[in-house]
Amino acid sequence: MDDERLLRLIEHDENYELVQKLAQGPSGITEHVCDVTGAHYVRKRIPGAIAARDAWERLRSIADPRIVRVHEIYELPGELVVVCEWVEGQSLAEHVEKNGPLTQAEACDVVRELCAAVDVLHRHDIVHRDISPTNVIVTEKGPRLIDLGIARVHDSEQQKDTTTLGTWGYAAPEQYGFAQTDARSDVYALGRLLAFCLTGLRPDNPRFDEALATESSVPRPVREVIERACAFEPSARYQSTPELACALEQAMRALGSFADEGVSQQKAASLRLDAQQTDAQQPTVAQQTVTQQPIVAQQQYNPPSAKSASPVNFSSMPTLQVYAQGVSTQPTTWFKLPLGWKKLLSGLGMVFFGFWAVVFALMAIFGSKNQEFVRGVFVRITSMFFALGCAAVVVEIDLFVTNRRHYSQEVLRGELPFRIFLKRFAGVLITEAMIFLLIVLVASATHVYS
Amino acid sequence: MSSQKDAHRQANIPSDTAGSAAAHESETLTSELLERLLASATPEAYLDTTTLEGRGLHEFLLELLEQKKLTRSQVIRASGINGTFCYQLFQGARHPSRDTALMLSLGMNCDLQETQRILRLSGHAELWPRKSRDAIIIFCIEHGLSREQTDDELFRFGEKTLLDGGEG
Repeated sequence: MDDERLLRLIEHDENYELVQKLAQGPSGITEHVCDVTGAHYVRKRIPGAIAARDAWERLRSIADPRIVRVHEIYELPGELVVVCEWVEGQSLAEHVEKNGPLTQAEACDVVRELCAAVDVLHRHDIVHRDISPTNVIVTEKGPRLIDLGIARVHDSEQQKDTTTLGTWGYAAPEQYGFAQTDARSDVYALGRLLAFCLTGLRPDNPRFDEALATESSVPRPVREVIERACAFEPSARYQSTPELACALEQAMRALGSFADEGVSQQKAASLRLDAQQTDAQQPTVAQQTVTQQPIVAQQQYNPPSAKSASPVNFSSMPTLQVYAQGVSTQPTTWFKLPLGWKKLLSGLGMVFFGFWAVVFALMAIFGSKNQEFVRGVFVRITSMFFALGCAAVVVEIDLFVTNRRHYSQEVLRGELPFRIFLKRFAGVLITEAMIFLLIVLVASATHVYS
Repeated sequence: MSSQKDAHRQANIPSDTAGSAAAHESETLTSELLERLLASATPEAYLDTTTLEGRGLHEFLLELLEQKKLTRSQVIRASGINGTFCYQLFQGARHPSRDTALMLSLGMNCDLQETQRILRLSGHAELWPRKSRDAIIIFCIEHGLSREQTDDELFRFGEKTLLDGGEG
């Protein structure tokens, strides 16, 4: 970067007037600033070694009302500077601290909204990695996700993250360096957040586990959802936030506290009424995530589109409608078998199908010369292989429709299920063809069929 | 006139000389610290009971910026130091050479005491009037000349300029 351009960037950076330093820690410095027009922003100075410019560039392209908007990004020596919008409202942590645990309906509303917001990030291949009650601001329009300071673009080639950051108690185990974080890490954090909303206790509180086991505060269906979302092994969790939202919805239906029209308007409005009351109060202090430094609450949010001031009707919200259409009903499986059996059958069938295909090809090439290949029991065997192979295709389709976990990683990356199946089958086919060719060569060499 | 000369003499005496008669509070404090150190039986006796200089160079530079109501871009332009290097100096990520420290002090319109402190905090020898080059620089600082004017004077006297010796 030439000096003149750098000087212009530094001057542009200095045009923001520092109102207050909000936090400072290993992930950088967070400041409340305002520009020459008086507009307020949050400016994050992220050390160059841990800054993920590509993630921030993708975030800038996201225009979701539940995710803080990125105003601008620029680089200065040794740091990436990101200027985000200033969001007014109490953090979820403050709200729960002040008003006590949320009701089940309120907690589910918040988590489902956050699931939708986080899913938007995942569709852009971004993992938030720092979902916690201090990074969720309660506004009159609903919860808003902030502080994407350690968000990352998921890289399937990477074995583990290059930096280990996050909020203790909400960060998934793999964030401590065991493996790379992905969408399931955010699922873990959302599960912990749900537990916090229902119990009013942070995970480091000695009474947290006991409160989580209390039926009155966390009913069993919801506790099961939390337990699965927070499983140690990522493959045992819900594989995506839509799955978590769907499971939570089903749990609430099972409890009878969720109707198709949406949550009770009175309960849903209470969360927003509290948020409105905080607008008139002095800014309060919430916890910073990584460093546990005090952070001042933020300013008025003016969303791009006007929304009704009446209590929220969730069934009218476009995000939940999309969820209801795509995810809310669990498809009926064609085969009532355990997942392991289905995967075994599918795998075996694929092998047989490949075997049939190879033999058929060889028969077509060498059949006229070697009549023994064509007649007899060999034809019956290959026909059986063909039938088993067709069954494999049917089982594989059933697996995809009823159990996304089998395909979740590839599907998250945007690959089509049919292409995934073809790729796997091609691999099996090539392997079998090579084995068969080897057998034929050896047989010819030893004159077995002479 | 004589009091002016005395004041100059006091300001020019390096602070590591015992019995420094400099009027600045920190110079006096340094002498007191030295006396306390010399009176201690062991180094631990002194170190355990004394709060030493805890401020780093970049914290002092940020203090100066705020005090003089300067911006980093103004200092970069005035000092002639490479923009990236100067920015990193203010972050505390880089360490200046002696000439770069002098360019920085001239760019920030520092007086002699502030310049000596910058040199001290960056681990370099302070300006010594017995050296001709240092004497020219001291003169330029005291008369409020800019970095370019100081370099012109150094060049006029056949001395190595600050721009040649610094990282700028």
